[in-house]
Amino acid sequence: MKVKINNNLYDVEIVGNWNIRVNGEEIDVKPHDDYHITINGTEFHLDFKEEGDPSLMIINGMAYLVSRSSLTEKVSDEIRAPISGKVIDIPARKGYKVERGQLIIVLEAMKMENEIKSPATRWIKDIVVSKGQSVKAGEILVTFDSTKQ
Amino acid sequence: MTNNKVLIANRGEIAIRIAKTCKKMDVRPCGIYSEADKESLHIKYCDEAINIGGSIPLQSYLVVDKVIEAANRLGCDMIHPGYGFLSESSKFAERCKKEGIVFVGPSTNVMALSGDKVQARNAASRVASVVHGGEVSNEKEAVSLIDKIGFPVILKAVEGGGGRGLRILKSTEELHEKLVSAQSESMMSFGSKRVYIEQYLENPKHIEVQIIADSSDVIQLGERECSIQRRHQKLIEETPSPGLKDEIRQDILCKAVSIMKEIGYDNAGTVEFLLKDNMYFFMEINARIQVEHPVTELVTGVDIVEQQLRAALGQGLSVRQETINSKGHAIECRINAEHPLSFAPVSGKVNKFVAPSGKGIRVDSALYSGYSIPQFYDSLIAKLICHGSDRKEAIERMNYALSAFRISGIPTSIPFHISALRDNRFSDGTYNTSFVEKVKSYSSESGELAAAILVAVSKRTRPKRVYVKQEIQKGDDPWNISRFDWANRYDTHLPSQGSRWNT
Repeated sequence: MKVKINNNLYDVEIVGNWNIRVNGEEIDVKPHDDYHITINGTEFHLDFKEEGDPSLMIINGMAYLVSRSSLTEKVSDEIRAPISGKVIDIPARKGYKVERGQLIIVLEAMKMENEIKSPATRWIKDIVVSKGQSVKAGEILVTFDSTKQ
Repeated sequence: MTNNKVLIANRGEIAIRIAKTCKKMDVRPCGIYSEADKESLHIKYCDEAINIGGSIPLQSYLVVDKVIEAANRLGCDMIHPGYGFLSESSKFAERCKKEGIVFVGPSTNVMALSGDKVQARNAASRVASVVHGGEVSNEKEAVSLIDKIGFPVILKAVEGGGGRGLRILKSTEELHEKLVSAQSESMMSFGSKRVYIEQYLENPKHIEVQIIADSSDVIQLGERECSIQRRHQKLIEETPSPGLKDEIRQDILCKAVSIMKEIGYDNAGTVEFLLKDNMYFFMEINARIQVEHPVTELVTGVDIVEQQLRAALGQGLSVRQETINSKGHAIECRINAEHPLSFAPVSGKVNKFVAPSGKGIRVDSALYSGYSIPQFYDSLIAKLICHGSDRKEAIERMNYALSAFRISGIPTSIPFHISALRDNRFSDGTYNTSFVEKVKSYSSESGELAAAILVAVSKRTRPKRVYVKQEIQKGDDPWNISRFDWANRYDTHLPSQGSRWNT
């Protein structure tokens, strides 16, 4: 399995039960459980792992960015609400191009305005919410045209 | 005179912190909790506790009638407000007085004065330098004031706190919009439209002085350096302040005492200053116990909560200025439940909570394994405080403690703290309030290998939350570590509703 951690590529082969090769080299791994392993005598604790791709892992208090499918640099085709709130402005327009960092939606939550910006230069396929609408965290706000990137 | 029962009108770590001192002093701690806090650890530290219902602060910990009723039902004749919530409400203190309950804090008139930025500033200006500024009620007044002091300026809520309602203004064009929004946010958060404009110092150092006082004495317990902030919320504090010239330190400490004497301050409190180019200016008084008080406790050995209770009960402080002997260095990292990249606060279940321990390590927290963090309150989940014989040792202990701190199931700000401690500006102590903007993420090469293996072997972790993916910046450092820019992740960080945490 190929996986990118931060900006480095790792090719991990699970040969047998915890018999692991990374980039062709055998690694001394002692498992405690799926969240706790010892590599070459150093203990590593997986504190947190996020779903999705790319995603965040926290190991021994340090943050690592993990991507598997994103080896092709694919960007998600949607934007979801980071927090529950009310849509108070939608500067973006359906069918139009948005630049990376361009403001798409303003979400009001807990008396504060949150600007939601485009993660990349994309074309907006659809704006799923309307001004004044209340949304829950995780709800899709905007979708991008997957045919144009 | 007293039946020795204190109602702790707060939740979480500070309620536990206060309860511990109460027990030490043979005072019985009593508590309150909201509907959302039924499983909160602070209840266990109280001899008795009452469910006051509600979840959001406006329906629970901020409701004066509920708190007073709880105190009366439990037969408490003292109330310790902790920080945030009702701690700086002079109206609440006034109400306690009417009910015959001792409010553990300064007297009501002192609170009213220190809580009003205009009055506090006027009093302080008699003994220390203050930045130019004044209260304004409309655009015309604002324009003529800005003409005198010049841009940039900062707009603040007169009765505000906790970094809420602050607006930085760089030109006249922004005035109308920002004045209106500051007034409305101030109204929503603090119930007052009054705003205040003062000269804005860019990237100053934030230094504050811990004071303990009663009706007969005012003592300083040294300064704290609190410049590492994001959105006016502190993240790391330390004492003594690194890179502060000794003569300026002595000057600031003396000025803080003079200011508190000037206003007749009579409990624990903090005087905040901004420091730039070796000039310092009074900013405000915080009339409460502060989140970061443990660093001062570790170097001075003084239990600040104990002194608060003694002052409120008229027993006199148990220390004098001459007996204060600060030793070593202490640092506090405020650990928040938040996504380390987006800074968005998270709630949810903590699978495992194992706090580090060892010489010079203190953890103030209300977390435990299996606890579910409710969504209604502040995202502070633990304070990690490390003490050493010098700054170097304190930093070493903090580095160890951060990596040994096991909080799993939710993301925390620990990766930020680990990265911050490795920043050159932190090591040499030259940092100011712009620090967070330039912190680069730090991770280790062996950790990368562990990450790759853990990804390959684990198929069992399931989604808990959905986040907006933040874009990832390419790294260019010798470690080959992808870096992300902590500052540009502001967008989704939200302080929790209704609470007034200190800045």
